[in-house]
Amino acid sequence: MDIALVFKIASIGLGVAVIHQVLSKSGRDEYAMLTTLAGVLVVVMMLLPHLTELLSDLQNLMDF
Amino acid sequence: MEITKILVVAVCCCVFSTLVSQFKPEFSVLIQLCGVALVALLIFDCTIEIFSLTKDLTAGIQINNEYIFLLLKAVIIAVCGKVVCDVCSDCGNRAVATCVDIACRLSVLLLAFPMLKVLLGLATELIEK
Repeated sequence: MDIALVFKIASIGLGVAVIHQVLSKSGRDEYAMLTTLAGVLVVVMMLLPHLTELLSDLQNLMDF
Repeated sequence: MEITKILVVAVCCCVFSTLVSQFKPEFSVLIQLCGVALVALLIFDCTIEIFSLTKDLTAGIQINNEYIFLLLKAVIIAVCGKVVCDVCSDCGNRAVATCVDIACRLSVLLLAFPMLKVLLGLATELIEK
């Protein structure tokens, strides 16, 4: 797990924000909302492996 | 423990979380979660080392190390609970933070019960003597 993950999430967030602005200004509010939802899902999928790794490490620690 | 890496990760997460929260608040929460997971994984090796050093220390002296590990587990539960409580309250969910706080207190209490039982046993023994 590396710090690059933080930069990736931040860049996705800013990218989604830009796309959201463009879509909502052009009157496509539904697509803007779907874009935000897709962005959140992508980031959650990126985070999930690391959170499961953290939880399994915690579990090992509790079984120490 | 790579303390410099931890500091850099923490500062980057704060900066990006603040930056992104102006446009998309949902992503600032995710950046916070990512930062917490990163720092937790970075300090994990140090925690394992502390556990094994404690094991070596208690092996030398005549103390039942089971209770010491119960103590360390209670500390881990308290720290994890505090982190999750803070993440929840940062997101504005005070109710969820309170529930997590109560859950952690109850689990620490459950952990401590065997020790209380042994303490009561010792006390009754002393009284009967």
